[in-house]
Amino acid sequence: MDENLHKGHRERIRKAYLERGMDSMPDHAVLELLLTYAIPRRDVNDTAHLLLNRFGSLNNVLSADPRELMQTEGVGQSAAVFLHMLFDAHRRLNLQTMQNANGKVRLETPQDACRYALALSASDRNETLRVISLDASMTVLHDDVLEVGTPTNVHFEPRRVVETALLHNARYLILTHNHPSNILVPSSDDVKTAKMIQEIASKLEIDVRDQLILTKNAAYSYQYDRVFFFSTPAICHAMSLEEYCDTICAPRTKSKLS
Amino acid sequence: MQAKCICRVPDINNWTIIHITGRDRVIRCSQCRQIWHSYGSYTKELTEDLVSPYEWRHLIRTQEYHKGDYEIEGEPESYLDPAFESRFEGETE
Repeated sequence: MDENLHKGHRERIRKAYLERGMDSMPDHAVLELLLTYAIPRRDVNDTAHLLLNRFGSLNNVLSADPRELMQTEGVGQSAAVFLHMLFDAHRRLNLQTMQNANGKVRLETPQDACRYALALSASDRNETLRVISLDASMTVLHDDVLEVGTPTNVHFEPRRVVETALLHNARYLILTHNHPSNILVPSSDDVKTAKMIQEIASKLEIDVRDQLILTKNAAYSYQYDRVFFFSTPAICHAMSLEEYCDTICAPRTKSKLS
Repeated sequence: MQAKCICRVPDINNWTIIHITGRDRVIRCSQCRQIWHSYGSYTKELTEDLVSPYEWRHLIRTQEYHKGDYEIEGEPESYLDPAFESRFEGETE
C-alpha cells in the first residue's frame, strides 16, 4: 500500500515538472525529483529536506563534495555521485558554450576570462591556484591546477607557473585562485605574487595578462580593478569593488577594504 | 526563453549589463559585442527575443550610442588592446 502511494507521489512530481516546468517548483521538490532517479522505491521527501537544511540551498547541495553528501541520512554513494554529477555536467556545458566552431575558447575580455575561470573553479572547496595558458590571440591552450591549499590559504612556487607556461608554449597567462570565504578582496600577498611572476615570466616573453580572484558567482580582475558579478552564468554585471561590496556582499566584507 | 541577439549564435545568450537605472538598460552581447538599449515606458527583461527589437534599440546601428551617455563600466576591454598597460609591471618590494 505504502509503495503504491510513493509511486503515485513520484508520478505527481514528474507531472508537475512536465506541465509547469522546473521554475514553478520549490527547491525541495526539484531535489526530491532528482533523488527519485538515484534512490528507487523509497520516499525521498525527507532526504530532500535533510539535504537542504544541511547545505542551505540547492546550489550548495549539488556542488557539495559527494563524501559530504553521503554523511546525510538516506544518501548513499549512488545518490551522492548522481547529484554531484549534475553539477559537473552543468559546469561542463557552461565551458562548452564558450567554445567557438573549432572547439577553442578565446578569452579576449575580462568578462570572458571571469566566466571561464568561474566555471573551472565551481566545485573547488579549498583555495586552488590555476594557470590558464593562452596563445597570442588569447585562445586557451591549457588550464592547469598548480596547487590546492586550505580553505584560507594556498602556497605555490613561482617556478612551477613558468614551467607550466613553457610546457604549453604560452604567450600569455591568466592566474586565478578562489576565495572559499566568498570575500572578494585581493590580499597584498596576491598582488605581490602576481607581480613577481610577471617579472620572471616577462624575461621569457610571457605576459601575465590578469590575476582573477573568484568566489562562487563573482570574480575580481586585478588588471581592470573591477568585479564581474554573474547573476546567472550568462548574465554579467560589471562594477567596482566598492559597489560590489555595497550592493552584493555582507557589510563585513566592506570593512576589509578600509 | 532568454534574449537572443541578432547575431543568432545558437545557444549563446551571454549579456554584459553595462548600465541599469530605473527603466534604462544598456546591455552588450558578449558574442558579437553589439550594444542594445531599452528605455522609456517599457522595461524589457532579458527574456525577449531581440530579433525584432521594438523597444530594444541597437545603439551602434542607429548611431545614438555615445560613450559619455552612460556610466559604461562594462565597455569592452580587451586583453589584446594595443594600449593595454599591465598593472603587474613595477616593483615587487
